[in-house]
Amino acid sequence: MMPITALLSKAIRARVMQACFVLLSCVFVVPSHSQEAGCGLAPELERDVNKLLGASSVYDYSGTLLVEYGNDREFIAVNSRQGQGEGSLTRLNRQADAPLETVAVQPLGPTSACGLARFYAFSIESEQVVAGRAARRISIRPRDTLRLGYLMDIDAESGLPLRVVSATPEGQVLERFEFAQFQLGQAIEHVAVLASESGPDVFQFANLPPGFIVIGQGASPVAHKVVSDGLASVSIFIEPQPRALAAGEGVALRGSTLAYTRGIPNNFLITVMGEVPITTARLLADAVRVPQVP
Amino acid sequence: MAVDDVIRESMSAVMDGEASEMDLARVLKAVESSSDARAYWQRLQGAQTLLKTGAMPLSIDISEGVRANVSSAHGGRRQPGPLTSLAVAASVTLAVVFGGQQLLQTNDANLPIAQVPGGVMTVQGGTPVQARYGAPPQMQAVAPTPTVNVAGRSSTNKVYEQLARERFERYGFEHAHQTAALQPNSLVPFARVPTIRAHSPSP
Repeated sequence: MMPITALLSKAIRARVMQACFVLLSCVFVVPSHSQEAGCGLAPELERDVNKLLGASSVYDYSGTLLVEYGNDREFIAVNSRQGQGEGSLTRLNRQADAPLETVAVQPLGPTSACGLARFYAFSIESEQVVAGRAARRISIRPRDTLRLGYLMDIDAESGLPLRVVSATPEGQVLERFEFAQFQLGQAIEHVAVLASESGPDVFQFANLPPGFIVIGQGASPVAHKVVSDGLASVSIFIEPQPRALAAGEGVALRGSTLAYTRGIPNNFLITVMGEVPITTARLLADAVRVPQVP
Repeated sequence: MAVDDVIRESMSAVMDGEASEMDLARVLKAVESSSDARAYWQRLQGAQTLLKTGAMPLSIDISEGVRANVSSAHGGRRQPGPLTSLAVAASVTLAVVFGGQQLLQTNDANLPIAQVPGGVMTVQGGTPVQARYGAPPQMQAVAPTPTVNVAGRSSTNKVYEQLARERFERYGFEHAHQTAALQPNSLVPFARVPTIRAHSPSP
């Protein structure tokens, strides 16, 4: 059956997204009534958030995912096989008999809800139905302007997010993911752990933005490090300046993902890529330090 | 103590040049009586300053500055127009910006700064990327891979915008690969990648 969104005109979709924005704005300014002292999360909320954070490494799943960036939409058939450390995607709108794209997923220990509560305010919202499944809406509101906010409708059974709306700290909607159809697989007994890539320590950071820590690094395709606050993730790539350019900067955006480049004449090109506001990208570029060559 | 939502909205209105007299009075009272409100106001100012100038403002108590600006702007009686509100916010911003990178500097002499003096690259007269705080919604979901003009339309920055687009395509998969496990839905990062290569990027 054709999804409802496919039948909507551009104008109606804009209205729908606008309504979504209003909802987000309300969620972002209304303080959570569920939060308590200590960790800051009520037990029920903490349980749900932890379930959300760990769900993708606990269950296999498959389904059809709607991906929406403004007026650009795409349906993607996904199949996650975490037990085998891989997943696959088929982009249904690209071409007839679109090829299967297989990817490897490296499992990591999930972040705890309490760890994130310093930088995000969580609250439970209304019950939802997504892809025919009961879901609970969790709003994740950044406590500063260095992170994005999210509305997630999580599957009541597994905790997997069935619908995710990302927005700037100011509430501007950036992208939406939603399962049009979803099948929950079996719980995973054993997760395949892949060897993590390592490489020479080409650069370091002076001061990372609050809450961000280095979680990985590599040398392919160029030297890079990965930092995260437990929810938002950013990769920082560094390479020789490709052209004889004066100092400058540029940004490309797609949905919630940003690529920010900054060039240092006769030196390096820094690329910061991740799901963060440009403020955070600039702070990360500021923090890059390259050891002096003797 | 957290800053009341009403105060936050009033501050946002002042920042956006859309404040009423009530908003201005509310902000004035809040920054005079609450350190949390002052801190929140400074964060708003700091973020906007950073976006506009690339410079991190120093932490300064600005309650007196707000009061002085509000008082001189409309004598505490007349309804201020958007330009007046904007002028208040802008002048307070100017009052607190020292334009330094002090907050980000370290004393580690072994690690030279990988940037030219002056910090973030900006071009004079550049357009801020985003500087709205809680203002009425302006629905602009971002189109596929557009660019944001972060520092004017000089030919140099056009080249950097092009580099950003190229890097988005080139490094998108590696970013997704490295960060997928952190996401609540580990396949979503790959869904964001325009084209996935047929093999793993890491040897």
